[in-house]
Amino acid sequence: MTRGADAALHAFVESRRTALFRSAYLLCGSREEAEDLVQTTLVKVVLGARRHRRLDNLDAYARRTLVNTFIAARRRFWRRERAYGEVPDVPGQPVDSDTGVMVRAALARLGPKQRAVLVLRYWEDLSVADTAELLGMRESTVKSHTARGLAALRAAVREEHV
Amino acid sequence: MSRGDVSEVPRVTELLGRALQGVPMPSGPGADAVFARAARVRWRRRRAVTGTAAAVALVGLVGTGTLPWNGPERSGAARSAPASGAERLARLLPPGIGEIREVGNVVGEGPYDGLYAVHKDGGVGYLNVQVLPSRREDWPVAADEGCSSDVPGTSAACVSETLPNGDERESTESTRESRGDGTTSRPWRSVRLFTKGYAVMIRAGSGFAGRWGLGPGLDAPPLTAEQLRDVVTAPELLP
Repeated sequence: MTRGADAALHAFVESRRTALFRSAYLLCGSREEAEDLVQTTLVKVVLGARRHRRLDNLDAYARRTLVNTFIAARRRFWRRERAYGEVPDVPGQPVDSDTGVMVRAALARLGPKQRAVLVLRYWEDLSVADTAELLGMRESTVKSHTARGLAALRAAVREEHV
Repeated sequence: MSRGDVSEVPRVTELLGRALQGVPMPSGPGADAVFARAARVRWRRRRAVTGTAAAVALVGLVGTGTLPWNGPERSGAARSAPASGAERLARLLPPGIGEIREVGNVVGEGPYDGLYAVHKDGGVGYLNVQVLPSRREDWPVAADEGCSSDVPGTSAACVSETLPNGDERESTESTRESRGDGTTSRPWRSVRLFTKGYAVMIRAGSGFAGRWGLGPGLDAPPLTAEQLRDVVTAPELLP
C-alpha cells in the first residue's frame, strides 16, 4: 500500500469513527461495548485494506464488518445479552429522553439479527436487497425481521401517542 | 416531533436517533490507537507465520523426497534453483552466514519481506524480514524501558538508540530458550528500525525444536547483533 493510500486509510478511520459508533451503539445498547466494537471493526478494516491493497468502498466494508462482528460476538457471548430491565412507568406526558429510553429498551429485547436489520434498514438507509446481501440472508427473512422489529418499536412508543 | 406511523422510514429513523440522544460520543484515542492495534495484530501474525511457513516448506521438500525428516542434509536437487527472493536477500547480507532459502511468505510491504531458512554447518536458523507502515508511537513502550518492543512472555533485553539521522533503532535479544505452541525456540535476536514512516523488522532465530523443524538449530542466530543493526538500515528493504 502506498503512503497516499495509507493516509487515505488513516483519514477514513478518523472521519468514520463517530458514525460507526452511532450504529454500534444502536446495535449494542452500551457505550463501552459500542466503543469496543468500533475499535475491533476499524482494526479489521485496516488489516483488510492493507491485505487486499484496495481502498474502494471502504464504507461498505466497514459496515459489513461492524454488523458481522456484532452478531458473531453475540453468538459467542449470548449470555451477556440483556435488556435494559423493565421500561419505567412514565407518569404524564413523556419527554424526548423517555422516548430514547423506550426505543433502547425495545431494541434490547430484539435478537441481534433483528436489531441489525433495523439499524441497517432505517439508520444506515440500506435497501432490503442490500441488507440481505450484507447479512447473508434471504430478502424474505429481512422483511420478517423488519416487521418484528417495527412491531417492537411500535409497542414501545404506543403510549407516547396516547 | 412527527406523530407518523412507526412503519414510515423517517419516523423510524427519528426514533433511532432518539435512542442516541444524550449518549456521549467516543472521546478516547482515535485513529492512532486503531493503527497501533492493527500493527500489533500483524506482528503477532508474523510470528505465528513462522511455524506454518516452515511446515509448508518441509512438506514440499519431503514430498519430493529430497529432504529426510528432520535431516539437515539435502540432495543436490533441493539445493538447486534458490528462490530469487533469497538470492536478493543474500546480496544484502554479509558473506559466510550460510545458504539462504525462502520458506514462507510474510505479510508486509517491503520487497524482501519473507521467512528465510539459513543452513549452515548442518544446522538451520531463520530470518524473518517484515516492513510495515508504522511509527514508533504505534507500538507500546514498556514502562521500565525505552523500547517499544512487543515481546510478551520473554525475558528479552532491548536496547534503544536514536541514529544521527533521527531514525530510531531497537535491538532485542533473548538468550534463553522459550516454549510455546508445541515448539521450543532457541535464542534469537531482532532489530527494529523506525524510518520514513515504516517499521523495518528483522528477526534472526537460531532455530526451534518441534514438529515442523527443518533440522537441528544453529549454535547462535545466523546474524550477529552488529550485522543485524547494519542490515536493517539498508534502504533496499523499504518499499
